[in-house]
Amino acid sequence: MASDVHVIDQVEADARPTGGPVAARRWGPTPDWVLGVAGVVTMFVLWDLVVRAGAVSVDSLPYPVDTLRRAGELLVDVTFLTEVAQTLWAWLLAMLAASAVGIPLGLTLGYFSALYRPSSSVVHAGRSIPSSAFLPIAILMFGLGTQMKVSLAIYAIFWPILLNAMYGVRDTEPLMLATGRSMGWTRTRLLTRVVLPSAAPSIATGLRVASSTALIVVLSAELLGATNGVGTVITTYQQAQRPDFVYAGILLVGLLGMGLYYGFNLVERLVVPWGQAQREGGR
Amino acid sequence: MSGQGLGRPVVTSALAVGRGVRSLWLLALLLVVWEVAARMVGSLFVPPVSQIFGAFVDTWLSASPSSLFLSSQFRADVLPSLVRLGLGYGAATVLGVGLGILIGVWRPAGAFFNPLIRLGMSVPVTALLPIAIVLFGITSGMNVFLIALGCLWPILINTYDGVRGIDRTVVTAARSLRLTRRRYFLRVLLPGASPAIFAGMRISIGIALVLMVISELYAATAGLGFYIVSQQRLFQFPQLWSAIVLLALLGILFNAVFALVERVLLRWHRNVRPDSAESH
Repeated sequence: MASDVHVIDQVEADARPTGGPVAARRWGPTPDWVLGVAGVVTMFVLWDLVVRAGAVSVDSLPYPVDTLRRAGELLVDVTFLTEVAQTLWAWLLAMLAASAVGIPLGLTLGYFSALYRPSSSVVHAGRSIPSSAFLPIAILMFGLGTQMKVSLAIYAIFWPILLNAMYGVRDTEPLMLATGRSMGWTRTRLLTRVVLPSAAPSIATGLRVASSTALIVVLSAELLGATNGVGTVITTYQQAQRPDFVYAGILLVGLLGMGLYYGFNLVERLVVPWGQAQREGGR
Repeated sequence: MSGQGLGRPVVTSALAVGRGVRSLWLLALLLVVWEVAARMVGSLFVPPVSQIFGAFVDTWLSASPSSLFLSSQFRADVLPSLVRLGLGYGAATVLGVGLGILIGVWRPAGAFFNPLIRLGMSVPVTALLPIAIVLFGITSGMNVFLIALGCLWPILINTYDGVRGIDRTVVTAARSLRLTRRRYFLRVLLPGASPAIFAGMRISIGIALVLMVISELYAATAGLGFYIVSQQRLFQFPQLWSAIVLLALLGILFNAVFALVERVLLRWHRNVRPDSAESH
């Protein structure tokens, strides 16, 4: 790093790296939430201006006011809510099935090192296939109903759940295992007191990734052919040439995804509080 | 890894074979099980592995070295897909890293865009398919747009986290050395954020493959997704599965390239892990 030393004598006016106090502010810094609200408002204003100026036709981009109004209408529309429930049901089934198989299997495969390497090559081959590629086959095999959506989603989320369970066990601190062993702990005790707690944050990460992936896959299946769920509502409105409803639906789906994400973070923080450090480091 | 002495390469290759057998036997076993089960059940939709590999060779490979042993089908369907993937992924990387650094460095910008980014990353990109079709029509632009949009968020968020996560002492040291802005950017900021940036880019390559296939299934006139749909309509399932195998090989290839690049570029970083679990 000797070459950096001469920098000292070529001081410039703006030599200070960014992030430092720029000037004495009279009112103090603007709070973050104000800026956030300003960001959202700016986006809506820009959106409105773009449509008003006629840069995009109203057929492909409706006015934001209309979109918000339609979103409000959809929120009290029972048929829409039923379809949302259908989507969430498929999501839940996939999550339950994939974790019921993936977590115990991942724990086993991670625990026995003879199985770890061969199974990780299977996992890497399996997860390299985008689940969407199976859609045409899944439609033929399972029809257009919930079963097809769920099976596709299970395929997509099985790998991250399995892999994170495997990593979790693998990354158990060897010193802790050795300590437990030297204290004469039985295998079950080691498993429940050392291995499981240290694998839990990693398993939670896998579930969190799986949760958003499952929603995406279920929704894709609905857009590409399934007969129930939010995705079908969106395609129906698109065919009816109601872009305002299409955008409203997408907005609500985005909020749904956001809700799932934050819900998951909350649960994770409550169930595995000791995973905090890992989460901060490994995002 | 330089071979030392004459006998060494032989030993290492023998070791490599041993390691290969030890890590691949389960995959081979599962493929054999698949073969036997498929033959016994005789399902139309899931043909035996041998048929799939036969179809793979027939469809994607050719005997002529002038076309790099790739068939005309490969050029007709895989190349357009790869071009879309490259364009979308490239655009997402440029935008994501640029914006991520901006909002990471300039705090008010981060606060300003934060809710929009959270909402943007929560919208499943596939929900935008109907809109993308209206905006772009059935063109490659539509596929590129979706791929870029889907890949943008992980790269953006990871870049942001990487920039924010740079060690305070390093920043202070840089400041007390009075590094110029440019030097600070190239010597401190970029290297400091690069492990996180690479993590985001690696997650995104998986997303890019998924979106490439989905957008082509939905609407395209060429490409791997298009090929899969057309083989489904023709009930040619070995051919369909051969495209799935090809996709798997592409995924494995991209991951291997990434692992290699990371190992070379991030050699100095201790937390480099050969594989990341965050992928679709």
